[in-house]
Amino acid sequence: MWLMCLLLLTGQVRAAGILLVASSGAELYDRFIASFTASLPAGEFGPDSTKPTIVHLDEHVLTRNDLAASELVISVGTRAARAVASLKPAIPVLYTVIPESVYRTLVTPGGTCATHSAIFIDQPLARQAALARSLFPAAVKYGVLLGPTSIQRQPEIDALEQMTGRELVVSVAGHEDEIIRTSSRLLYGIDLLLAVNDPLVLNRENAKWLLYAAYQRGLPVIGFSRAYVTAGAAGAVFSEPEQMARQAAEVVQRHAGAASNCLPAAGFPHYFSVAINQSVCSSLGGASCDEEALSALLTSGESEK
Amino acid sequence: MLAMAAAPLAALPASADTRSLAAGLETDEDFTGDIDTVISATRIRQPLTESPSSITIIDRDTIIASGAIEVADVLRLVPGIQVAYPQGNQLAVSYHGFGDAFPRSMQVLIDGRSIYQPSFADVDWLFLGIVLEDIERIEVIRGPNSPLYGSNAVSGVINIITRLPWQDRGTAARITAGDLGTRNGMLRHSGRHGALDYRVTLNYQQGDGLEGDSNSTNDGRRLSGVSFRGLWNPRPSDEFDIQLGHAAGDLGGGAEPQHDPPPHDKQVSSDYEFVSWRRALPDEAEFRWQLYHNGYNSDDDYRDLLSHAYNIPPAAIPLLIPGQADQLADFGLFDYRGQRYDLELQHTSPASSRLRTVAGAGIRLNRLKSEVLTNRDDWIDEWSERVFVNLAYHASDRLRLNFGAMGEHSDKFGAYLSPRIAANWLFDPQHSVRLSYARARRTPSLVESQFNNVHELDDGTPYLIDFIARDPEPETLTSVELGFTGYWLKRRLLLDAKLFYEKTDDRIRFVEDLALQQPFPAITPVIPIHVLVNDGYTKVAGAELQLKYQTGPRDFISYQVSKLDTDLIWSVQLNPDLVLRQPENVAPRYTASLLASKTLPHGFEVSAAWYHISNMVWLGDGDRIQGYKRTDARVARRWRSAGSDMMLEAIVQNTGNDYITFRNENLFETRAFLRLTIDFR
Repeated sequence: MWLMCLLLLTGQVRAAGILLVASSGAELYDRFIASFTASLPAGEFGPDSTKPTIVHLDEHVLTRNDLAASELVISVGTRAARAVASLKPAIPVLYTVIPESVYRTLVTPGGTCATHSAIFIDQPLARQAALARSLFPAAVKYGVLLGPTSIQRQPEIDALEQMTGRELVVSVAGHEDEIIRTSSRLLYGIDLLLAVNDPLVLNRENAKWLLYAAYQRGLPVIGFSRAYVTAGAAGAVFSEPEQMARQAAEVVQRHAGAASNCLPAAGFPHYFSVAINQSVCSSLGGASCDEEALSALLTSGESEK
Repeated sequence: MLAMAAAPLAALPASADTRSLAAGLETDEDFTGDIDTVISATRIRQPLTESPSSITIIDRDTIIASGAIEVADVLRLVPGIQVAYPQGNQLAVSYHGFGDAFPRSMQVLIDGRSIYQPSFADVDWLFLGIVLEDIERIEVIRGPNSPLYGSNAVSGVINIITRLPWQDRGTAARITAGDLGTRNGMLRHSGRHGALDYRVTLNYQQGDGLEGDSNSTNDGRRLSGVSFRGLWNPRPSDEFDIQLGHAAGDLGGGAEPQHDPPPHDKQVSSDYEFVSWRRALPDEAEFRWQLYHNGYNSDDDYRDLLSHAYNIPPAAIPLLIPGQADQLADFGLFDYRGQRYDLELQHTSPASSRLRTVAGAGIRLNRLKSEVLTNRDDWIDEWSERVFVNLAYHASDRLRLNFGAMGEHSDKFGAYLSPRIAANWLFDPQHSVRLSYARARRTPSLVESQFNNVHELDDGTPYLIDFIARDPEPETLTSVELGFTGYWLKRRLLLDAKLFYEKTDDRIRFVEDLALQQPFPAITPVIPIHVLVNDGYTKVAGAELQLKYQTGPRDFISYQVSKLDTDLIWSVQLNPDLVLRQPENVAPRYTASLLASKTLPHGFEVSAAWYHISNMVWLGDGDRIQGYKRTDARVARRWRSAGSDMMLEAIVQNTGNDYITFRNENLFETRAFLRLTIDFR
């Protein structure tokens, strides 16, 4: 054990390999695992462990023994993150496919060298705003509906206002029951809505309310998941499991080759996709409804920064 | 340490994510799980600049600001539409004139359910089954739209879209009281049970009718209704919309001028059952299936003595109708039952970003039972089938092409095709011009095709004939229009204008046939027999303009105006010597309306509406009426009290002089109302 700790302190992840903990055997997590595994070069992590160990929480009860045999844990999904965090692992953990708000409740921010990190499933509002700008360049007032959880993103909104030159109109609701009234008022004074998830106010159970209200007023909604687009948002940015897996594999490879044991700071996913609802986009007069072109435009825009 | 590490961690239950949602915790499923799909209630959704037709959208703010008490009131804000009261408990809504007490050339839909009646093809605006408060918005497609909405959509479509149950969580009540004995009440509750969002609305209406009737027509109302709407999403991609409604009440039966009966009521009831299933398919396609039934019963069983009805001495009856003494006979004309069953399938596919299609098929059964109207005691059925397709094609960045056609077949009127083609040229996404051509057909209603209004004594002896249908064929309308739609000032200013020309061939109308003789001419020397025939054609050329400027979130000003030039050519004159009415100005040359609304501090709101209609003739029982100007005003205050949202409104309709509506006896006087709405949150 002391030997393992020594290895960890120097970042030399080699023999014991990686433990992948997935919330369940759901397709989403399997896609992440398959993509992550395929992204790792054979033998990179030592002759004894060319492939990570995989645990599905719906089949296996996670114990400290599982962690003891590993050098790096990657949790996939919220449930997996909670299970891993509850064991207070001393080894590095990369939490993936997890909302930022959950991560903040599980992990206390470390010092300059964090052994815990995350790839959030949330999308940065700046990315949603970039899509909004490309789709509807004439829109100048962006609306955001926040709730008790998503209010934490207020600083991000303030920064976005400075960055984009657009006016960000924010309404805050305390509970789901207030969403209709609050969003009605909000929708009156804006040109476009950026959807931000909040479990108590705007969630997948009631997202249709906001989508419908916006639809009625002919306002585009820019979402953060493909489901939003299917349901009626004009467009959305989101990260596929494969894209988050690719980033996780890159983190692991950099970590394996690094002299220190520090993980990069937790953050939003680097790789993402763009989805456009062709009907809604064209009916609302979108400047371009071409998913591939928009994706390329946004990607190049981010890489220039 | 190893022993400590081996302490098991309880596996989280499978429903953890659901519980997390209830507990207000985010999960990754919030970002990856499906959400319920929002689907338009209209067949195809396009920006106004790309639409093949002119559309007036009356949103909820407009409805509130207008101070409307009845649903049909708000339609006065649509350029080219005329609204009148044939009686205090009957509203007539016509577009581009040619209206009588039963205007029948507009398709009227509530959430996709066609509500014009199979009997007269008109709409009973009192028995819609919904109340004003349930309406989210009304989209009026001005111009023929048969390719999308079928044979009655010849002059336009009124698409009423009701609020979704979750838009009004909780319980609300509204009471309205005012002139004309108006006492209206509404109680609504909306809630959620599992995946079902529902709304139940109870309503009651009471009114005394028009007070200015010189003949004291009995035209009051007393009716109540209940409606239910449930939206059930068993899966995010599936939505079931279930709507049920029933309304019943007594309406004053009016007075037939020649009969002058004492006041009597007719008992009217309506019901509907509607279910639709919509599935969102991959690639933004959608499949919809809907089935509904509308029923309407009008029991007008008024009986009167012949001598009283015709104002002749009882002793004269045997002389006028040999072998018959003075006796009671049926005089209730509006004694009928109508039914409609309709099944429709529709598939919507964007197909590609350049081409979007809507295609579907439907089958409909219209039924009528009325001995007094058809001289038959059995149900008269009309079966019809339809297929339709609409293509919206982005030919280039600036050019949009719309092509649509509906093929219909009726077992009474054969097969026919209603096509439309339109091209929109976009100067930019905010400004476009449109050129469109359409042909549409209106099939006769069951009353029009089966009218055989023979008055009989109880022993079956026919003694008077009023109306007979002489196999009328469908009317055919051809329309060409040139339109412009533009937005300015960050889309706060909308201007929609169009020039149009419409020609309707084979107009169905009543003419007097003096060659036909009444069974007993002595009793009814001045009552000619009317036959319903196709007669000549009509032309309407004109211009319409609507302007709306949104000055604030709920503040706006809108202006609508139309100019109509009509031309009638009657080709058949069965009785050239006896023309009771020269049909000129069958559409008003000018109609205009203005609505302005302003919110003030402390929850106050003020709005004012102004309406103008120039001289026009209402057909049928209507008269040539003088043009009028009318001003309405509304002052309201919203506040919050004991956790409830309150709104108190004072509404005055027609602040100026009385005006005549529909016929000379009907005066529209100044009316004042108070309305209190309480939203218990």
